[in-house]
This record gives sequence, C-alpha cells and structure tokens, in this order.
Amino acid sequence: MEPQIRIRSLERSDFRDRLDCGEPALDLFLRQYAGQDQWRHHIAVTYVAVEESTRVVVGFVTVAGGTLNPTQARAAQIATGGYSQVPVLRVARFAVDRRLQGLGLGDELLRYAMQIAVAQAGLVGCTGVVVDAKPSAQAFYERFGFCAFGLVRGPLPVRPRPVPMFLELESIKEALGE
Amino acid sequence: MADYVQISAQISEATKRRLDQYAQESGLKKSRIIEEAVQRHLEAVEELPPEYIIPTHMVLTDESWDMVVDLIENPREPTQALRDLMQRGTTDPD
Repeated sequence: MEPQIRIRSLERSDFRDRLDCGEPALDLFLRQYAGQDQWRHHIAVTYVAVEESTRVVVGFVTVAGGTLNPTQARAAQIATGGYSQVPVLRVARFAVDRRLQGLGLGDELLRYAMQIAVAQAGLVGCTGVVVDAKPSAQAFYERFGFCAFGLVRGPLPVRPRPVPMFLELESIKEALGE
Repeated sequence: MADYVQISAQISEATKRRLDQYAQESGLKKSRIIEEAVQRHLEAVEELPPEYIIPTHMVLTDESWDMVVDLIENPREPTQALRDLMQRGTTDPD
C-alpha cells in the first residue's frame, strides 16, 4: 500500500533526518536550519510533504516574504505613483526525496507555495512568486510561466548559483479561476 | 552565583593530554576550560551560517525591474501547465 503523503508546515516532531534529495546541502538545510529559520529567527516557513503514518519528511519547500526593488539610479527615474518596490513570496529552498522524484510531488509542493502566495496577496500583499531555480531546473519553472531575471543584490548564497525567476500573481489567480 | 554540578565523561587520551597541557600553560582551571568550550560549542550550533540566511531584499537590474513591473501591470494568460497545476487537487495551505 502506498504511504499517504500530506503537505503542511514543519512540526518539531517530524523526522527530518531521512531525506535524501541528492543534494547534501538541501538535506542539511532541512535537518539543521529549517527549524531555526522558522521557530527561532522567524524568517521563513518550511512546508513539508510527510508520510502521515511515520512523519518522515519526503519533500519540502521553504518560503519567505521578500521585496523586489529597483536600483537607486532606476528608482530616481520612477515617476510619482510608480512602484518603488513590490512584495513577493520567495521560494528559497525546494527538494524532493530521490525515491519520489518524477512522481509529481515537486509539482504539488510548488502548487502549495503558489496557493500561499495567493493567500499572502489577500492578507498583506503579494505581486508574484520568486523561485531560486537550480540551473538544471530552469526549464521546469519556465513551463509554468516563470521568467528569469537578474539581481544586483540579494541572490541566495548557494552553489551552483541559482537563477532567480518571477511569476506574476495575476497569472496564478487566473489559472486558479479566481 | 551559578549553581555547579559535577559531570563525568569519557574522552580520548589525546584530548585529555591537550587539555592538561593547555591548563598547565594557561593557568586556567580545567573545569573553566571545559565549561567555556561547551558553551561556545552550543552557541556555534545555534548560529545560522550565511549560506542558510534567506535574503528578503532583492535589487534587480534595471532591465529586469522594468520586466517585472510590466508583468505585474500586464499579466499574461497562464500557461496550460500552470492551469493544469493549479486546478489539480484541493490541498489548501494551513
């Protein structure tokens, strides 16, 4: 019988040490730092895909609020009433256990993150979702409409250097039928 | 004044030799060295290394900023893959 998998926010009693996503840095992040980011520093929340009967984490997505900003030079040119910064939801970490890769769990986690962005838009404002895509995963996000963009400040300090990509919220809402 | 308790621990002979040598050279009590070492270790494991900090303030190149603003003001029709993704299932964020 296939284990039942549920997506929800990380809980302290979840087994975080059994994830093997193929990237040790992501496994380590979940094991050691996701909880600190969430419960101690309050800078991000990790949503986990867990096997309901065992509480073993088999995938996760870490999201944080953020803002996109123009350079100072560009900001000086923006006419009154133009955007000086825009709020976004940043998908900062994203991983699926190797045993379950290719079975749609990554899609489910991404959809979950996008639903959070829609909820965030209704609560505090959000203009879109930013993902930090591994270069090898850029095509995966492009299928959903994500566009690559360039950063002069604020890239994730990880290797290989990820490709930041943006998808506007209205497109997500339209896809939801809202 | 802090309360003190006694602990007992098995450590390697090599570490014990280094501890004895350091205590002799520095004139510090071994108990103080051990307590400071444990405290520093516990502080270190609670520190968030830079690679695990998530920057929330992102500054875009001028070309990218213009692109993002244009996408916000003129949103595109969702791709078929996005429609399929968002209309699948009923998982709601908790």
